[in-house]
Amino acid sequence: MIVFNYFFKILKQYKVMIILYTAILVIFGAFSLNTNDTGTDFTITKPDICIINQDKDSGITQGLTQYLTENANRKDIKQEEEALSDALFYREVSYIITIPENYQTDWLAGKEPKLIIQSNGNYEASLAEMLTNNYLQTADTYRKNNLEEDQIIEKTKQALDQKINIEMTSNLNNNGLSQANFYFNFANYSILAICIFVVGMVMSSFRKEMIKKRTMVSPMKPKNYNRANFLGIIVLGVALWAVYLVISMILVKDVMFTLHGLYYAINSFIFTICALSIAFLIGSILQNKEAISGVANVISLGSAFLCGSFVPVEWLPDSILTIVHILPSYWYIQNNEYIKTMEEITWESTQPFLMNIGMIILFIIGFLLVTNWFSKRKK
Amino acid sequence: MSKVIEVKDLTKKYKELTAVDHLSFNLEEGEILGLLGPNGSGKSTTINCILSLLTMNEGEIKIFGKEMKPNAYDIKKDIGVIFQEVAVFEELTVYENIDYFCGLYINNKQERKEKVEKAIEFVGLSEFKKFYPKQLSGGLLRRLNIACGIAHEPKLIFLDEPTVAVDPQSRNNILEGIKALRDKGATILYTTHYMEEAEILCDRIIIMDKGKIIAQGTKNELKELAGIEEKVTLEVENLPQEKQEKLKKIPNIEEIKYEGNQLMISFQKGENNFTHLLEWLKQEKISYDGIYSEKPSLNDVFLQLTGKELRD
Repeated sequence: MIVFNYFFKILKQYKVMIILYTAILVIFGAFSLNTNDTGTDFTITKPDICIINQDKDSGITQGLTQYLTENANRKDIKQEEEALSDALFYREVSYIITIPENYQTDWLAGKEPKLIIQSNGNYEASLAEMLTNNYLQTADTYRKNNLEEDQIIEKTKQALDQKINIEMTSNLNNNGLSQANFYFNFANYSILAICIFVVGMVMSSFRKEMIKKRTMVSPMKPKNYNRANFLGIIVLGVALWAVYLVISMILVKDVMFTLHGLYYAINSFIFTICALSIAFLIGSILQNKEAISGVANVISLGSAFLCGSFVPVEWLPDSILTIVHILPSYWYIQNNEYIKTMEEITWESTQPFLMNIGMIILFIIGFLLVTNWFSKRKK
Repeated sequence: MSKVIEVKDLTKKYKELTAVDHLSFNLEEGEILGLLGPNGSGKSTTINCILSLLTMNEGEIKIFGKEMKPNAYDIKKDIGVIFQEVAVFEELTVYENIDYFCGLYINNKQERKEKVEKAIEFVGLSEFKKFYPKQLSGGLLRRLNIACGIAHEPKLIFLDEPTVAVDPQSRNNILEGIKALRDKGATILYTTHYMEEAEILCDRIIIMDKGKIIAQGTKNELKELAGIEEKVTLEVENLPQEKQEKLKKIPNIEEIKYEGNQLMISFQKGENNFTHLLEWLKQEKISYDGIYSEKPSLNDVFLQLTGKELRD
């Protein structure tokens, strides 16, 4: 009992670090509450364009100009080469359409005249190009049906004015799940950093050569001594997980009292045990406190950046995602991402979740085996 | 008096090097036994083997009449160890450190509290209970180290060079403390390479060199081995070689050394050696400043037995 009690007395010396890492998690977790990801909204954007009409302002030319003016932000730019180039370069506009002379006549004659396009190639330019092609292709369809020019313009306008209401439906509380997802992904960093740093520091104190010698000459059985240390580490991990769970219940209570919340809780619990097994391994290998601090930073920050804790997984290159399969954080974050998308909680839908949990458990077993091997070798 | 420690033919080898070579000795109850020898003579290795911190190659070790093994927990509960290096937690206060190490031996909280308080008072750290080790001076840190080893009031205490790198005042305090422990009934095995400490403190001394016992006994018994009765030192300016040769003819002179202005004369056992010397100086009209006589030291014993200084 004395070893267990003093494990926590020594641990108290590192409370500032625990509070600091937890505060970072709470701050970023609270920050995520301001994000709004319902997943059912759609807002069309209008690209910034410039139209230079060198043709007559009538017929198809007028129709195209009007359509683009309604569906894009039309800006007037001085019609000089330098001014137009500057406007594109400084992103005043993304797309400049020059309608050449006799465009209307040539188009009606079926000569397929070309518009002169200048573009900076960004997504707004693509959108403007899509609008232009959309109008001209629709009009061309009517022209090929031998309609009069007025009718072509009228029918094209009617066709393009048709609106369809699209509703994206989902049973999921997307906003809450996104917030919970962000919180638990970020917790990957805090849990790893705290476990490795604190467990490493406390173990380093207990494993100092002279302290070990003093313990070895005492009547304390090594089995009892190791058990007390191990129990201390487990209690630390469970307490840390419980605190983080309570924080999540405050920050994202809508999710945490559902089955999704239960899955997040299970996933984070298994990951905390995994973080403890990593900490146990590092504490067994390293004695130097500065080295432990450095390793804690490298592992926690490295895993967080590479596995998608700080940035969405989708943004990471495929090569990185392939490599990070060897890190338990990857499976933990993958599981968080999967929980977010679970429409229904069924046995079938739970299987991928369990597979990821299984991967993390394999990591735990692996780390414990390596620790055991290392300890025996050291002995 | 019963035997607290019995060591028979203890041998410890590190590959080709024999650190302890067929060492045999006993430690009687209530005794302070000193293991004296230069650095590397095998003192600490001997202690580590006795405590089962090292596996011996040959030999037999009994403590309190029972065989000492790594899992001899019934023996270990009555042993206290103070290592050469300070072994405390940097993160715990003075009180907590002593309480922790005492707690490895004593489960009862109230009993432990009383013993910790006694140990703190014994080493004179009452004012520093809430201090962390890094806030203590070297001497106070050593006292904390001692308190951690004796708080559970062991019957047998091992002290492995506890005064290395300690200032003279703290050293005196530590030595007084060790005597007080013996007076309270503890049996002590003390290793040192300071002959003065061994002389002041130990009832019996074992002199070790290269892993072997080269002599053992009380300090007086050991000094007999030095082969000289007393050493006289005096300051003499310009003592010609012919006078030095004449001096050697005085009865019982074993050896003379003349370095700088210091004339050192070693006498064998005999009567009126000092008087003969003074008469000769007067007769030869040799003027001198400061003259003093001293009994042979353990260093002389070591020198006699090994041909080298204990401090080397």
